Amino acid sequence: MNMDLEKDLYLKIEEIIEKYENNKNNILGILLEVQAIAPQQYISADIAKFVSRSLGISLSRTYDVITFYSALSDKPRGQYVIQICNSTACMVNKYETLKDVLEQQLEIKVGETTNDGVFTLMYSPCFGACDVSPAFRIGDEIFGELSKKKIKDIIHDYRRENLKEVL
Amino acid sequence: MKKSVEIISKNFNFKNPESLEEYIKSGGFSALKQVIDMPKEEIFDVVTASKLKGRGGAAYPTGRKLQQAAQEIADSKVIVCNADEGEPSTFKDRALLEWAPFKVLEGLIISAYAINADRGYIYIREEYQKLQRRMRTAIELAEKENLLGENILGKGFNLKVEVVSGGGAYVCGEGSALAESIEGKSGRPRIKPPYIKQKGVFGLPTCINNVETLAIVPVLFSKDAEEYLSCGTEESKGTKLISISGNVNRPGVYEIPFGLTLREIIYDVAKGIENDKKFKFLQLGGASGPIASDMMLDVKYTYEDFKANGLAIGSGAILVGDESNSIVDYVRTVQDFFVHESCGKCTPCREGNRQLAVIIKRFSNKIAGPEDLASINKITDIMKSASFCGLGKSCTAPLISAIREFKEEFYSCM
Repeated sequence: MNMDLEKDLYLKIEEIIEKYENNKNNILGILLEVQAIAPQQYISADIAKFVSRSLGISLSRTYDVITFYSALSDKPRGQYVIQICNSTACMVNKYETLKDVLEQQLEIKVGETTNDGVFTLMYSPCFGACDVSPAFRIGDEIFGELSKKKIKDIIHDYRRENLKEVL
Repeated sequence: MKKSVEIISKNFNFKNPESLEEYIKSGGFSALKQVIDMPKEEIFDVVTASKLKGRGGAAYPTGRKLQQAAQEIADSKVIVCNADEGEPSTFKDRALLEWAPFKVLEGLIISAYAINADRGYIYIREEYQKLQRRMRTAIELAEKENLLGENILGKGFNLKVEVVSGGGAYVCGEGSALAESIEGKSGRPRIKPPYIKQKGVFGLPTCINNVETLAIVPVLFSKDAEEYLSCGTEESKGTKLISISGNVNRPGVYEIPFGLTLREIIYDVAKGIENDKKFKFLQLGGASGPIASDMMLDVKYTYEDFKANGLAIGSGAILVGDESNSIVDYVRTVQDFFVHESCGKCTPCREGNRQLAVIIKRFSNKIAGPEDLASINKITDIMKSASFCGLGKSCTAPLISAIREFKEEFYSCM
């Protein structure tokens, strides 16, 4: 990463920690917010060390939290993580069909990241969108009541959004 | 009997659910204003008389829970709203947080006042980030109107409430795991005793209630109380928010009076099975709830009728599967969920779930043998009796009930 960007990132992380009053009890909330702004949507070893030092806790305690909660990742991911629900309601509503369309659109399999690093495709346990099942989520956006065209459009929109950010 | 009502869900058609003004205009916070002048004993009497039971799944009598919490003596006490709604196919708390955040908040404040809690946490699952923001806004607005904070309504009662985010861990719905998570640790359940009501969040006496339970509390002290209490049966008074999903025409959240049959719920409330297919099974109360066949369709949706038939209301989830689904594959989905969500602290749950997943996969691939059924019996027995927390103890229910109700389908995989 370029030095300026890196400096900028750590300043932002400091802001987040300050917002949470430098309180180690808030580590889960802090890490979730940090991950959302971190490149490749994950908590890198450097970030984990930085957060631990700032909060005055051991690195192992930070990793206890990172590895326990599935919303946190210690491995790099795409800029947008697409999570397909594979729990009960989406199973009877045939999430496999949705998975096939997404795999085809993105030209990757579940568990993989696109070559350009924009999307990661993965399964997720139920996130409470059973009324519009089968569903997937990207960050805090939920998508349901889908058609092939709608899925295509959503992916297209995110690609465009990403281009804007890069430029 | 009306098949769906709007008492708890009265605010679901609000133009702006984030408007405190709109909530107050519809009668909101009148319950708090009334309760704050009532002797505590009277508050407990009202809640106990309503026979309200915890709506998260455990169905513990709320009146008793509040009274027990009040009896704990401490300088500081904690009240928690459990909005970690993680049971697959449950999304009724999502509707309450989305449409009635102030009602949930009012219920939390009333309950806190009754038990003398001065700290409140609303633990909302990570998946509901937007609703976390909405609740934070609601708290800020309530603070401005002196409905929260110091010296609430000038009656000398203090309560500070904050929203805490979950991190995508089903087990955090369990009380002690939730307390660990609020403290900023990995959410593994604690050994009991001491119970959460004695030593919970930060070692303080803690009273944890589900979102829906809290949303019902203000109703009991409002002009809607009469209508609410006129619904249901003697043992199951009032209404229940159900989340109905799967192969039905109108999946969604509905408020129903206790006492409808499952058939009425599926065919009248949710408008029947999609594409005119045949009903095959339902799962009640989330992933850890029992699976039932069409034999149970005429059972009434009440705590007592369900208990008599070996069913459970649980979270109020009703998942319907049509004839196109294989029950073995369905159970496999449920099992994979528990493998993912077992926290790994105790061996029976961690290894038991893994072994069950391996065995069910054999059924799914039609290469199971009679010894596999015997293994299922042995493993589920051990899990039920030796697991550390409710997750491992209860997660075998769908598998056991599915084998009981759909024997032939399992045998045909051997």
